[in-house]
Amino acid sequence: MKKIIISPYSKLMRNGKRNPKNYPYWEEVIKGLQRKKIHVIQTGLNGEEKLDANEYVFNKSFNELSELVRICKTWASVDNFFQHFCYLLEKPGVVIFGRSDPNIFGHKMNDNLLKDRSYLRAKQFNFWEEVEYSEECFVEPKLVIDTILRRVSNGI
Amino acid sequence: MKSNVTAIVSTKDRYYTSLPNLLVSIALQTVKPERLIIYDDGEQKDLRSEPLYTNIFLLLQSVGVDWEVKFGKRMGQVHNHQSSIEDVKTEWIWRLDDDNVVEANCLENLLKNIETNVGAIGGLVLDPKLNQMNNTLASNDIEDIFLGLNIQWFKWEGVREVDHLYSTFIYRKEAAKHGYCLDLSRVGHREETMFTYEMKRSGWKLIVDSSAVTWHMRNDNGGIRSNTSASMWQHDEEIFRKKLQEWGVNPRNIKLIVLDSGIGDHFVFKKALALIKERHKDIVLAVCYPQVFEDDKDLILISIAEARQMTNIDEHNVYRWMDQRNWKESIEDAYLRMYI
Repeated sequence: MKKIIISPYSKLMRNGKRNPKNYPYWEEVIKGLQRKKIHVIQTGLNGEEKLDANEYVFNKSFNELSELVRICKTWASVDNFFQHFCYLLEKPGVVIFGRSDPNIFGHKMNDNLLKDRSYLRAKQFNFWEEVEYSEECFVEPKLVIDTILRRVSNGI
Repeated sequence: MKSNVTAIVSTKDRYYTSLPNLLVSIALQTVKPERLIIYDDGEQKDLRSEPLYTNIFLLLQSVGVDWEVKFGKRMGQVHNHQSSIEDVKTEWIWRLDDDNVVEANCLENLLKNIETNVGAIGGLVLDPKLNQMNNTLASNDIEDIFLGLNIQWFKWEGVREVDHLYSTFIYRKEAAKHGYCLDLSRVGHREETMFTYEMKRSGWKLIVDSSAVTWHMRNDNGGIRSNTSASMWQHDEEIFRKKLQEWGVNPRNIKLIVLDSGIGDHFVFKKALALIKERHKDIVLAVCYPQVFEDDKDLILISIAEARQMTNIDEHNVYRWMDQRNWKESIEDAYLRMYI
């Protein structure tokens, strides 16, 4: 079974509110991938909400995480540390953006999924606590699924 | 037993601020200097008629410290220090600044380090306003002079041999034959570094004993460095750099980079690091997540708290940097532009 690894959450906000970078449709994405016989591994930190993934690898060291990334066909994340970690490993994947600008915070080797630049926040470098959460700014799950499947089938 | 030490202080316009604190702390030493000479570069009042000083001078007298006020030539502290070498009759001179307060056992602990080949002994010189946590980079090796991290500014334990001393210390008159650098301006920037390193070059050992503590009550008003201009500092710095060349010292030129940011930014920076290393040989990296760089043996890693002792870390904030420039390119490119 082909494996992919997802890193679905960005770090907790200091004000306790939902992080505006967090994608709201992960469950749909996971279901869609599982229907295509993809084994989904969720990575993250202890205490983060578990999605309906096939496997969970939480609180891993960088070495353990890089080994996992290496054995997976590809990966998907929001605009969090994981995309930068994989950039360092030179392993391309899929990044779901919402209000942060992939031209600044993304890497060209990845599929940076942005619904529309009109959703980008005006002040890209301010604290995220100042930004209200919005589901609207994210792409539909079908696009995420299709993009991941294309990467899996192309072996890229 | 006599200490064979004369305390000297050069002062200017601090009669009613920090100078009295110093004088009282000298009087209350567990081992006292035999004599105190005050070089007055300020108003040059007759302090004996000032009630505050009447008390202080009587205190000094009653604890067995002879005292004397000499009117300086108002040419700056370096000239007063030079005069003191000629004026002092004891074997050792304890030079102090007029904004110092010495802990009661300071002189006693300095004197414990006297050996035949020791030329000067300093202690810690702590600023109560600053973070005194020890900095792993702190060094009194002359090659590290431009790090700006003197070991005397931080709390640690023990005794160390060093290349130069800062501010206040005791020194052997015999080890001071080279004298002070009188080419310096009135501010006397780096005067003690040159003075003590010359001692070292003459074969004398220089010691820092961390149990001897002086508090540096830094004060922008008054002092022998008041009414000065930037050009004076620059002038002195040029002299110092020429001296380094004469001495054949190649100062270490480190590049401090501060990553006071999220772990993702650390990874992006790590990707950019290869190119940054081509530009800067000695990189000191202050980080929040040292584990990201632990496999890189070329780097010196320090904490953000240590970096704060060295610089205004806001200037290293990549987000601030990008915001100020309305940056539209990648964060990796921003790091490259910042550091290459």
